[in-house]
Amino acid sequence: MSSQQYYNNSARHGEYQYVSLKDIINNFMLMNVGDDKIINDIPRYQVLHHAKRGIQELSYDALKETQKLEFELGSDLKIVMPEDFVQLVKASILDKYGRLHPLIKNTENAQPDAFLQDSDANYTFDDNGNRQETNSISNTRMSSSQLEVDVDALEDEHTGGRFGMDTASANKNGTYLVDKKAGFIKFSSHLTDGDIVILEYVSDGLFGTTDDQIKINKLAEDYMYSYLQTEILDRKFGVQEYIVRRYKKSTSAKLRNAKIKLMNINIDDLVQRLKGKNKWIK
Amino acid sequence: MINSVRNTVLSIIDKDNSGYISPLEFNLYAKAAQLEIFQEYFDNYRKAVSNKNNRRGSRGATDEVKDISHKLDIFTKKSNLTQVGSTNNYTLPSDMYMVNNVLCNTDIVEEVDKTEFYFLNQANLSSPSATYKVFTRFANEIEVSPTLLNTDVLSMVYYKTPADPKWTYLTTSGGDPIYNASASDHQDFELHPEEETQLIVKILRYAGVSIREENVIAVAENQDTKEFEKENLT
Repeated sequence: MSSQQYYNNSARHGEYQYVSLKDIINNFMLMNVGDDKIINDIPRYQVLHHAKRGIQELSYDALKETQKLEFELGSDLKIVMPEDFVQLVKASILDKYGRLHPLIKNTENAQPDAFLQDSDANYTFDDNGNRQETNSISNTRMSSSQLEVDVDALEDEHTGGRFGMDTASANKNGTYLVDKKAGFIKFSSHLTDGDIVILEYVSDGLFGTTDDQIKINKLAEDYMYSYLQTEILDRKFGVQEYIVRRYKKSTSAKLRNAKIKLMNINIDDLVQRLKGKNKWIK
Repeated sequence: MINSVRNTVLSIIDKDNSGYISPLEFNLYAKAAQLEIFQEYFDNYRKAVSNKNNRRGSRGATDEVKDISHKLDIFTKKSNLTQVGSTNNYTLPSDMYMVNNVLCNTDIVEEVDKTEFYFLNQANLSSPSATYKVFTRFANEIEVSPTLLNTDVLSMVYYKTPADPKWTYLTTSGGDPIYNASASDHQDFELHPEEETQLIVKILRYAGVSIREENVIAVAENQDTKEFEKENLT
């Protein structure tokens, strides 16, 4: 590909940072599988499986490439989780100047399940003998539109005294609640209909891409080969334990190296950050 | 090579007026001998790889794995596969002996066994896709997953079954057959020229059984045993 082709094709901008899954699997099969290699034979579909698992683990652990989603809040103050959602990193509200104000996690609602009970508080069962589910009173009482952080948790929990602010929930921006079972993210009534919320969340690096579109950062490429070797050798019959251990150690070290490389610690950035540490508080 | 082999076989058999084998018989023995040697290539290849993995192989001109590969290259063919109706099945080439690779355009289509084939189609991470296709075999067809595009070309690299050798001849006025290499049904051996001695020994063995000449069988078998021992010397 010439420079001109690169600059004229927006789809290829920045692609040099990445190596595709297809390349990883091809390189692995070529360089690590064969008659005179430690892995003499392995079906490609197994390598594909481990490679995708490796990318998932890398996405959770080292890549730090969170997905960011902006959306406008409706009157019910909740949103359906994004379809590639694995874990929430941060939820923020956008102000009129384009600045982000972080929301804090609501830890005061257990979001329990509830089953139907009769007047004697016994469970009721359907024709198949299964308990019947109903809406939880807890969720109804603390429904998204009624969530408040103004209720003092300390006061509620330890009757009779209030000794200052509960700093863990001291945030005027509002709170969010991740309802994993129902697949919603709910927001407190500090937020209103029409507010712009930014979600940052971890995905697994695989969603919404076909096999030929999956790619990882080149700084993690070496780790991927090592990960594949370890996972395959670990499951192969008759491989000596010392060989498996050797590869496990190597993979662990390469994961650390990949994390360090991907952190992109730059001396200039570090100096700039440390400048703030010298500020005297008068 | 076929005429040279036949002449040698006849001259050995005729040495003590032991007997005579007709062109028809010769062709039958030649076919059996060629097939036997061809099938041995695969066993020998496995042994050679095993030896090499155990650091008992060599490189360069004496590389046994490479040597057998080259002998098998003679039988390596590539041809496009024909789709069976509008199914995901494709017909195998009629002269196929063993599959080497199946390609969709330039990508390898991986062979999996039937159980894996169905498991894979349900798998969330390793299910077959446009990039990673798989196939499984049924009699003289293969089933590919996922469905190919109309523009995709499915081809197969395979080892073909050796063509049956045929020593063709013209009959003289005296009734003797004279070699005729230009006959339309003439077929020489397809094996590597290095195999000529092996062919002679194996045809002699068949011929010895046919003419009930124990000496011929004994000599041929003795030669065969020596070859075997030489090949398996470690």
